[in-house]
Amino acid sequence: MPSTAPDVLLTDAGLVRPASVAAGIAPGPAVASRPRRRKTDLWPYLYVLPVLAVFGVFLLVPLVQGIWYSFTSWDGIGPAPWAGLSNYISIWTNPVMREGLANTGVLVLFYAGAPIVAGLFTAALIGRRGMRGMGFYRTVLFLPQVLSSVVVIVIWRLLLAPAGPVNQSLGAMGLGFLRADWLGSFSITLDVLGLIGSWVAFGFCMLLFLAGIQAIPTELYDAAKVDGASPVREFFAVTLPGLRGQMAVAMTLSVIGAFQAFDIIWLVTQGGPGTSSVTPAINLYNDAFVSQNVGAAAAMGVVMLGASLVVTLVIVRLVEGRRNA
Amino acid sequence: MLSRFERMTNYAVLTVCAVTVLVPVVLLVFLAMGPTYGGGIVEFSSLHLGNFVRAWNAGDLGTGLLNSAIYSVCTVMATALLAIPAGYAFGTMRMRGGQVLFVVLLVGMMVPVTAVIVPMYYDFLSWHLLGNYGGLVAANTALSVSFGVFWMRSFFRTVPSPVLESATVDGATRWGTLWRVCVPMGRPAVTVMGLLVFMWTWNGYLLPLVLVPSSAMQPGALMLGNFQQRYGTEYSLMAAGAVILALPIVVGYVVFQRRLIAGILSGAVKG
Repeated sequence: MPSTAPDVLLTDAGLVRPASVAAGIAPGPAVASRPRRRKTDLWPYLYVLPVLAVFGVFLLVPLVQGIWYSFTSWDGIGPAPWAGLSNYISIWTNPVMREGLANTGVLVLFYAGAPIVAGLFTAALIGRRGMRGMGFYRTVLFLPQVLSSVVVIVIWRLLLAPAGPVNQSLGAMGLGFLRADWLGSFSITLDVLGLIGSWVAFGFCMLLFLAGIQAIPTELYDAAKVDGASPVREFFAVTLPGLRGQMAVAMTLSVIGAFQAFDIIWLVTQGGPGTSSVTPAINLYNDAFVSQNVGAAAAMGVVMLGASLVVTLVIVRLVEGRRNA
Repeated sequence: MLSRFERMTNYAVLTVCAVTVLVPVVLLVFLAMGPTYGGGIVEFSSLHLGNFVRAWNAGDLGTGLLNSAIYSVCTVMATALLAIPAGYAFGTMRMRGGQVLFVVLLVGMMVPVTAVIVPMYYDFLSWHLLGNYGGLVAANTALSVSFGVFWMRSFFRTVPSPVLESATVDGATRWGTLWRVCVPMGRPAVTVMGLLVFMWTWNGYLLPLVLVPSSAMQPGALMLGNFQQRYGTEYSLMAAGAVILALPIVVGYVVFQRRLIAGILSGAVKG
């Protein structure tokens, strides 16, 4: 951890400290007027106030309103009749909502599972001591992360078009039977969209794990080498245990990303064909802005917030718990 | 040292991964130049830049890029102006209840857009913030500012206290110390924060989709989204539009990648 650097600087500070102590007792209006520890110092609150104001007005207020709307059957225009828990119940009973939840399960595999495994694997290779030119791979693999989701889906719509390069190359390789309507099929389109999500997300996981690997003390690798550990053993004995913290961050962020999945799927299929690729966020959008079920949309928003917080807590607890054991 | 076999395997595997990333991107640029095929082979003489001009005009992408730039720059500036003083206060000053306030802000990092987008739409409708520049900037800022405070606080905590104190001795106020001493010292941290917020705002989709209904003020991402739905079968045109939208970010990424990645790497270890 980076704690050593500030400590060194603090001990160096011995040279400077006396001066500042002297300044504290030195007479003179400029110093004397400065509030000291006794009185409550109000200045820090002024530094923080603007952030809290923006945060409060544009985030907390809508958040609380959303919770309120979720218990009503408001249509966005008239009065908001109290609806109790009915919006929450219909998330579980409405078939389209259920389909959205089930699809989320699939997307967790593609948005979180696959990128974490691939990210771990590539980071372990890039992070090996004694390899050259790794900066190039790092930069390239992170590239999809900086592309807008619209650009990403244009790329894949072109590649996966019925007469596009993917189907053409399959035909040319004599694998014509594998050709498919990748983005218009009831059975495989959700998985294809999920894979596009993996393509985007894995660079992020890679970079995160790379950061963790660089923080693992070199001595551990030296010790593994002395013990004659193979690269695979070294990965499981040294690298993987050293990445616990990054694993928690990667899992939290990418699972939440899967819960929120919207852009890629909305832009390609809008949840179709039929409702085969709907997600909770797409249901929320349709409820709120197409069918004017504002209450139902708000309830979905609250559930998504709750799910995100629960996932964060559970993952952090799991990782911390294992660390103590 | 690594064995020759292992070294070669590593390069081979990583090259395969790099190819899966690069080939789709290169194909996009290639298709944008409108290749035609003669007997299954590409006629390189047919490659041209005309589609970029057509896409630029048909999709009104010039307006879109300008809007994206306005939204991104304003959001970065607002986030920096709010987050820098707050991060400084949280990182260097004693404040009763400061812990609690900071935790509240951190929870804001966990709030997903979907949890606030619906009420935000109706609030912005009644506050006259819907479909104008201020509204989307405010929403983007509110969603980035938690990260900004967290990021700047972890930087300011690394500023050695003697630096802060000696500046005070020289007669600088804390406000002056912040802007004249600490921020110049923390230029890398501020840069990375700015780059990340810029990128998020430039690439964001759901927020402008809901908050900016009028097409004249939509950012480029949204315009390209409409564009690809309208010209869904004109592949070369779509590709050209995508290249135009991605170009500024990709060029920025190539220029800043070393600093950006180093910044994310150091931040990720702390976090």
